[in-house]
Amino acid sequence: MMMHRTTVLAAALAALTLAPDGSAQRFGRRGRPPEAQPQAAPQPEKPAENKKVESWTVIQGGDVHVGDGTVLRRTHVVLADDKIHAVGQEVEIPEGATIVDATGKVVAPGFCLPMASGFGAPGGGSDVREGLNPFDPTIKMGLAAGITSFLWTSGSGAGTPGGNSAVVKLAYGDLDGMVCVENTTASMRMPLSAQDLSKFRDLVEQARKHQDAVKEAASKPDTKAPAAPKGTEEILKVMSGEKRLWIASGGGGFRFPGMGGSGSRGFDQTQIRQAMEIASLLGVGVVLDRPIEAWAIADEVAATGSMAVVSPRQRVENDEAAPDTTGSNIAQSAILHAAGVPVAVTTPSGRFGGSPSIGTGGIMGQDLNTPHVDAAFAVRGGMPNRAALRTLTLDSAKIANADRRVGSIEAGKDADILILDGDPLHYKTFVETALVNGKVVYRKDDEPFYRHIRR
Amino acid sequence: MSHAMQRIAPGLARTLRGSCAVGLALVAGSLSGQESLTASALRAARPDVYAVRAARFLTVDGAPLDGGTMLVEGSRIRAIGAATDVAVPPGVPILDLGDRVVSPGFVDLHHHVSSGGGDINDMVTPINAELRTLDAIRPSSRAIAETVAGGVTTTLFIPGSGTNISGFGALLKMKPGSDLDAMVVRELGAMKVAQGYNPERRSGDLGETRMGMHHLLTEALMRGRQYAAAWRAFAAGEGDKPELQADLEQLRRVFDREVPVIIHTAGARDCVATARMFQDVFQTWMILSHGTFDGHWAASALAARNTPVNLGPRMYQLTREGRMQGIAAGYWDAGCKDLSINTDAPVIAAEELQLQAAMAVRLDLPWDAALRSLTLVPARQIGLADRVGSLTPGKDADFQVTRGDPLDPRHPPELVFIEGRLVHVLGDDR
Amino acid sequence: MTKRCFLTALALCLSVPLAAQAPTAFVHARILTMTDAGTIEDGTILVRDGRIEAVGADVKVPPGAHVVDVAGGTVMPGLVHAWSKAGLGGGGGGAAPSFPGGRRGGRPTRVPSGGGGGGNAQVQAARKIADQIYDRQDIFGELLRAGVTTLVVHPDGTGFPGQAAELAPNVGPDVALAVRDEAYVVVSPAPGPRAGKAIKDALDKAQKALEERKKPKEEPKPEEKPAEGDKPAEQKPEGEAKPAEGEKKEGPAPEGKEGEKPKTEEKPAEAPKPQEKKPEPPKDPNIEVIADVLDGQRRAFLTLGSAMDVQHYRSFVGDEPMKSAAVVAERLDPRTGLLSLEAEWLKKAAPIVLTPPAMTQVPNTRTLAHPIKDLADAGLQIGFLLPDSANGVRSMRFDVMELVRCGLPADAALRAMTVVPAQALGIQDKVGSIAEGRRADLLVFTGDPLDPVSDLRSVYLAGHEVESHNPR
Repeated sequence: MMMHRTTVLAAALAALTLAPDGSAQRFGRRGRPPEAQPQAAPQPEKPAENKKVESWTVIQGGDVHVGDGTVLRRTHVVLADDKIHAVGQEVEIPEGATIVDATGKVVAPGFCLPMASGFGAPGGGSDVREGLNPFDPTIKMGLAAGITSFLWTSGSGAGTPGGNSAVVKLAYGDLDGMVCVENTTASMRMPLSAQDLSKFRDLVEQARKHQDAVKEAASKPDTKAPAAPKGTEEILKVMSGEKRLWIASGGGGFRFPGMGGSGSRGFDQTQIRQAMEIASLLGVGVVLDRPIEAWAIADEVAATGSMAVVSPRQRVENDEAAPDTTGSNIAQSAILHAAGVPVAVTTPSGRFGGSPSIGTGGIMGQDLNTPHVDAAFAVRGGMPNRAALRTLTLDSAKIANADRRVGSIEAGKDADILILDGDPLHYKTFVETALVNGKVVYRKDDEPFYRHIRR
Repeated sequence: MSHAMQRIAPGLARTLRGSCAVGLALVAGSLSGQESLTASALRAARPDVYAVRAARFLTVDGAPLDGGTMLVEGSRIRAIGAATDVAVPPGVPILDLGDRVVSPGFVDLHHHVSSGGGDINDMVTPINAELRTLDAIRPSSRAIAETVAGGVTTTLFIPGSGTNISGFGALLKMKPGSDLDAMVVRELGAMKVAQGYNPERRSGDLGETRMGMHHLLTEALMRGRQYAAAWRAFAAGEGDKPELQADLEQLRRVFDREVPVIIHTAGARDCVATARMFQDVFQTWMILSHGTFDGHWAASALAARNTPVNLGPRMYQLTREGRMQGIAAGYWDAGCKDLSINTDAPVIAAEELQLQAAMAVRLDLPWDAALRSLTLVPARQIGLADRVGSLTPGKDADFQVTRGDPLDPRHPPELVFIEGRLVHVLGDDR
Repeated sequence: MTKRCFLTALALCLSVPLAAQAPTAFVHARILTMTDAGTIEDGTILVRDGRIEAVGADVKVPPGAHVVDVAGGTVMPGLVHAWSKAGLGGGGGGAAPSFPGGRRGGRPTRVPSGGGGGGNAQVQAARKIADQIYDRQDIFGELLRAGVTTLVVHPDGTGFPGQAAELAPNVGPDVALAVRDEAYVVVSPAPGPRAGKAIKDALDKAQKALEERKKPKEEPKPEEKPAEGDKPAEQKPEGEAKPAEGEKKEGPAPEGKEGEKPKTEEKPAEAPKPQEKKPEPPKDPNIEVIADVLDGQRRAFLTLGSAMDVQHYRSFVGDEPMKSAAVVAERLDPRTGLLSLEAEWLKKAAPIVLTPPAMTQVPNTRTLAHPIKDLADAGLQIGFLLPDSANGVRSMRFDVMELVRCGLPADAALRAMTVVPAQALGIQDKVGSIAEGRRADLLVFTGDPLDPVSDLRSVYLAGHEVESHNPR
């Protein structure tokens, strides 16, 4: 292949590589100084070797928000078919590449949402492909909102991991491009009864024994690995990292802010601690699905390597007997982040229990039409601005257990990329172009939603 | 950048950025030799007179003021202007806010949560002009603290839209935990009327249709007008003393033009019908609220009447052409400039009033209009422009402090003052 | 349900009124032939014994002929309704079909698992809808009076729900007779792996069965399928008079055997004889039918309503799909992707797309889309799906006018109601056009059929005027 070397920028313009924003936090009375955050180095899948590249695309000269909190000024992103090939200020621009000029624009990873519904995915069932509609009009609306993938889930285990999931891409018009990964998560619900918990402990023990037996079998030639004991299959997948375990609360109902109500507090400290016990038993971090009081025991959550999906603006009234450690408030996501807990944000539109979705009813700022607003609310609660973009990109991809494929702009990852007309978390910022699997699937000027709006 | 800012930058700015809001080190300009003041000291000491310095004052009634000084005396703003123009008398403590932005407290005219939630729809009969929300307020409600955490200092706590006239809302200052008397600005802040959908009576009563509701409202308004006229005549010595009618005593105030009517509307049809009824026919002081769905189609008819419009909580209409039509922008472009924006809390959380305006800006309302829609415009609409809505000498010292654009959800109010008193510090609500 | 004996020849039914009658000559007619002859402005159609004997501008009217002067009027072929559910709705005669409800708009209808199929898709290609029709229903006469002179009813369901039946509406009472009970095999994918895998599995089995058939056999095969009469390629001119041999290739459905008389030939599926010398397992008749389709001996109608449906189906069958006679798109729903987006793939699947004559909208907008024109421009032949009510058929003409107004050529629009569906059915030599040898199914309009003021003056079925119940 013919290549020519292009150096676009003079040394004087050599961009700053800005480290993740480390400015101080503001958490109210219960604030604490930030701690060093364990950076989970994403390991993109290796590109298939010897694969002939059919089309090259270069997104040229934009300020690239990588997704891990860093920003690369005036940087090029080279796409080889559906993958990111290279990111840098000095990159080889392949002959015949399609050049997309992003000078003066912001380039960001497509948002990978931890929970959503619609976008052509079925409402449930065991197989996400069943009825999957690549032409669903909500896909275009999702792309307009910056969403390029989301974790689809169906069903859940109760006292043990279960359910189906997939990371679905908003690959408009391309059925084959829609399913990114399948069954990378499982889920279960708290609280467990004492009986369920002891059953779970037994299963984990059996699973560990099985792992040892498999190891032993592997060390001996001609020995066949034993079959997994019944009931441990999902647990083994969680322990090996093949599946990320999501833990939600099965109890308690949502209470409309300020409207009282009789629901229990739901995913409170007691249930979160039980979830942490599950994480410790399994030896892997779990995902807390919209916990209420995780912020109050953020260190305990961080210690297990666990993560959280949070609607930053969700307020839950605190218990007057323990006002400083109960309920939830705007600082929750920032406190979790500062403690080293990866956080993905979600929107209030799922507050009645369903999955958040795109709305068309006129309420703006409360649903998946504006995921960046939810990240902005994490900033309102004290999360640094750049870290907050992670709540929609790398950390949410990690929570979906798809960070090997999506969530950041790094060589080897899927070419799911946004070109924005400004700061990714500013309320006035719009997606100008969205690419999924390296293909342009949305242009603001080509779709009816926002083309009438000028900067 | 102003001279004043040059003095505090850059050291102080760094200090401010590096501090927690609670301990916001509001160091006085030591160079000036004036008494220094911190936010917590301000809270404890409650000085009668103090000065505020900040990088920018969004006065709303004029251009933004960079590097100015605002002098607060008692509950009022005594002076505001460039640092060189506003003399800070000796001994007056200075609250130096460094690089922060000061804006007026926001005004939300469609707010339902000062009862702590619910208790706002008495739906036995369709006409309830004798009711008032004053009787439902819980000053200790967490909802009030949450409202002020969003920089909202004045609200109209109105009854729900379950009936055609659901009662009178109280106009309140959001002073959390304080006593009722201190909160109430006007006991009868506005009469709440509902047109369309919500108040339809489906149990077989009159009022199942628009026609029926129109009749019920008209009849009530005619009675109120007649009753008010009888009392006015009596007061002028032109008639007998009317018989006291308890159910019309409050309504009478509407026809004395002491109290406005705020009308829930749904769609263009209701918007025009509302303007005809309350402006053209009954000539009341009125505010058209919601104005959403396809309400913006009525905007030119409303613009011709200068109808005061209070928009929200919906902010767009997905048109038949697939366009996310901003409602506020639609009104604005049609010439309807008397626009305020609401939350309809709890539909949108009361503290997200700024987000409502931000979303209007996202959908093409000019930013200046959006800021006014949360401040001066609603203040005028509710008849309180002499007290709130802008940073103007003589007005109540209701203001908030943010790190930047107060409409940006990333910038929470760090400090909120009502009538000169610090009522909220970021973190209070956590 | 008991078997009704309606596998009777149309000729038997029509023989009484038509036998040995004088020829009929339609004179001074503007004739839309739907053949290469195009439009004949002032022509004559000579009809004898229900067939067109001659057509042209200078056809001589034989002495003694019954002359119909259609001066000022226009004659076109009768409408060909290739995809109907008429009479299957359960109304009249207690003939409620056991087939599950229709699949609309690309969403899979969950249907009970059929015999031999996987998942929710049925593999019942040998089943015949003809066995479920009650032949005496008002609807057949109503459709005929509205101009439908060829009517084919199809089974519903996901997978291979069965075979369609061509009916012959009778001129007299409202009776429809099945003249061909194996008109086509319905292939009805649903968007998802469940149906996709079942269909792929059945196709693979059929492919194997076909290879098995083509292997040179050392020993004579006693169970060679004798269904040549159903092969579209071998239609005899009087094909509709053929009683379809009464042959049944019933699947495992229990009703299939009810009332069956033993036939001279052995049907492996019905009576596998374990004591026979061949130990070979019994053949699945459903798979054999599908193998016939793969072999080009039977025609298939493939239902794909949207680009979404195409992509799902393609993900299982690949880029070289089984050849079908037509793709049926029951609804043009932009929310599942307009079919025209997949025109290139469709051309590999079938030469004809049958679709309702409708415009649609770009999703989320009121912008009109014209997928039919797009499909036609892409090189596919367009046939129209007709409504199953007389009023629907009458008013459909106005939908067609709208398509023409928006750019579909008028002749393509007229062909889409006549000769194209006839081609899809493989009966273009018999119906769908006005040419020598064709059945004299004629519609006489007071003007051009695509002129809104024109009215349908009369309907002729096999040369016989249908009594009009039309109030006009």
